[in-house]
Amino acid sequence: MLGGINAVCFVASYALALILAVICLFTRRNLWRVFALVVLAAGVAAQTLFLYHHYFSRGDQFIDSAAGWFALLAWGLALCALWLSITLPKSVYMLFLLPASMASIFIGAGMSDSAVSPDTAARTLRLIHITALSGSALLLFVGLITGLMYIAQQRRLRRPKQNRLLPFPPLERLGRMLNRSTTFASGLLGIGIVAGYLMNYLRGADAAVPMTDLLVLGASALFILLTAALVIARTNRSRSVRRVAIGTILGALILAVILMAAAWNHSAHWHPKAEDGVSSSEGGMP
Amino acid sequence: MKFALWGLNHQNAPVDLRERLAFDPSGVERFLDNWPGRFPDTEAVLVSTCNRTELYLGSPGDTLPDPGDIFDYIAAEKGDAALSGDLPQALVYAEGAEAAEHLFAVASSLESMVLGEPQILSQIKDSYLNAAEHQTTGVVTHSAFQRCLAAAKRVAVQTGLFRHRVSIPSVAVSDFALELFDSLADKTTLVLGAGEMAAETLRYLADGGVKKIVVANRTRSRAEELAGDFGAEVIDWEDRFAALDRADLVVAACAVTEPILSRADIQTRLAARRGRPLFLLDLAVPRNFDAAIAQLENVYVYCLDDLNAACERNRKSRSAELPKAKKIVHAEAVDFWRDLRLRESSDLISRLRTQWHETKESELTRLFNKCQDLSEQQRQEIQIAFGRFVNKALHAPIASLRDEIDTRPSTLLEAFVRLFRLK
Repeated sequence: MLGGINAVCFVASYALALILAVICLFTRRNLWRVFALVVLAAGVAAQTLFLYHHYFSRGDQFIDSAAGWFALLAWGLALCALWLSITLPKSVYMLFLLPASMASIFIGAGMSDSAVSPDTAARTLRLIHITALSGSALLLFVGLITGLMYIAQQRRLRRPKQNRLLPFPPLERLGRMLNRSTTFASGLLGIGIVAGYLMNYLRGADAAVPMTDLLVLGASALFILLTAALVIARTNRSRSVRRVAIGTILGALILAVILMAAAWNHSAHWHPKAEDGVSSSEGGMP
Repeated sequence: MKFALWGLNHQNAPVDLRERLAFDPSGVERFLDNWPGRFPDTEAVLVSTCNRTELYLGSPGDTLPDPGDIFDYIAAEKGDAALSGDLPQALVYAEGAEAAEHLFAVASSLESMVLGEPQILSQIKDSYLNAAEHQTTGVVTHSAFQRCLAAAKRVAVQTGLFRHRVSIPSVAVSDFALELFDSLADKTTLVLGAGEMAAETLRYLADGGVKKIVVANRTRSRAEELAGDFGAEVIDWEDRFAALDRADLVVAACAVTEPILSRADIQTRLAARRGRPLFLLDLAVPRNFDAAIAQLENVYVYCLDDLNAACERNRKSRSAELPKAKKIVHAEAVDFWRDLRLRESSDLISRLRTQWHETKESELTRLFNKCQDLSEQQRQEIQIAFGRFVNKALHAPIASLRDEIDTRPSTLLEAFVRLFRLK
């Protein structure tokens, strides 16, 4: 029965939830919000079952593939959208995280679903590497939305006469969330990078991912940028959150560019579906 | 009788102009002290709040002072000669039932920024009592202001406008402070001033669960009196700068002519605040905070003009009750004006009757002197006939006069005075 669930089910749910969230902006009626949450929850549940089925049918091979990684990221983004929409009713996370989630699903559908590193020797390290980088990417996207909302809210507070179409959480809450998400994203990114370097070391020079690989370079640069933003913010507290917001937004945009470039430019990590010769019906995204 | 108003408010004048025309309590005292010397035959009540400055004029006669003289007087009292030239364009004029309707609407808070806020009624009452103490009131303004208090009470009782307590501080805090802060419960609030607006702010904050409230006022005893009711801490007025280090929210409502906090005052405190945002709410006109403060990082300043959009939302949420309230106010104003005109016309009718009866009596005396042989019964018949003639002759014009009160009374009343040369 679980095999019957495919991406169409949850993409349709996310799209419908997104439409309902847009309607909410204009009607400001709680009924639409409740509908949006129910539809989104159904989509998240469907995607959870989908991931569960694929993981158990293919094990580590699934999340070690580019398609699996993007599917995991999409699920995390949708779950965050659901959680943040419930805990912060005055927010528009759904409007931004759901398109990102759907974009992840579509990118993943075009990626290879065969494992990047079939070696089983460094299984734990590989799981840490994948999970930490997925978590970091997820938090960076949440940080991107939070950072944009923070800057917009700050601007709006300085211009109280302007109309307010989008509801935002209080600036204080946004600042706290931004600091946390960026700190955790930076930490997870660091863990993921270290795990990656260790895996490379264990594999030996022949099987190692080259240090000039786009994802290796990009992730390292991103780590430096986020850490620098957090450190600089600590040195001058008067503009601390704003600096973190700008650093996070830049970081998330860089991450998006890196992911897109890696997905289409033959990174040693990932390669497009057409090149691996493995049928998508087995484990990839339909 | 004349009743009129000259004034401006938040709906038709920007805050800069309102600041120029606002009178502090001592300014109102001086204005009313000097009024009878300059305009002895004209009644005056000056209403000066943070959102409006309105001068209500009354006269038992048919004329009011020339507007130019009033503008010159206001400019002289404000010590701003340029005002005299600006006021003709800035001030709005209304008279008669229209002026009364405006006064009644103001007192019922229908013209307030926050629909249904209760402070305006007590401000109107205080202005009236102040004018009465200075003996600038008279028959017209007494009637108008007493009737306006009754109208406001009727609106409060018969509509749902006052069902949930709202005020300018409540709208400002809920709309702006809660966009900045997650919760106010753990924040420190500094209230500058101890007047009615400060009290309203304290009441709202205390009801909202704010624990740490600090009050500073130029007269410490008034601050202590106010703080006592809400369990707030009192500090000396000079310590307000140091209190900025720990404050998250500062609300100012002081009747002063110069800012009480400048940009430099805040800037020197920013280092100690370590990047914590500061919310400044200025509920006074003239403004209590230097406008340049808004340029500082992490400092958010709001004045009354910034609240318009928020108040419009409040107005919409209560708009269902508005037509009912407006209807009451309109009916009360029409009734008031009718009563006033009726009082005036009754006096005129009485004078007319007296004049005609005096004429009748003198003619009868002349007739009876000429006709000495008339019997007592004949004399009585003639007296009754003359009396009936006078009554019949006057019936139609008096009836027309009474009917005219409901439409345009002044035309016919004036015509009567001139036609019959009534004194």
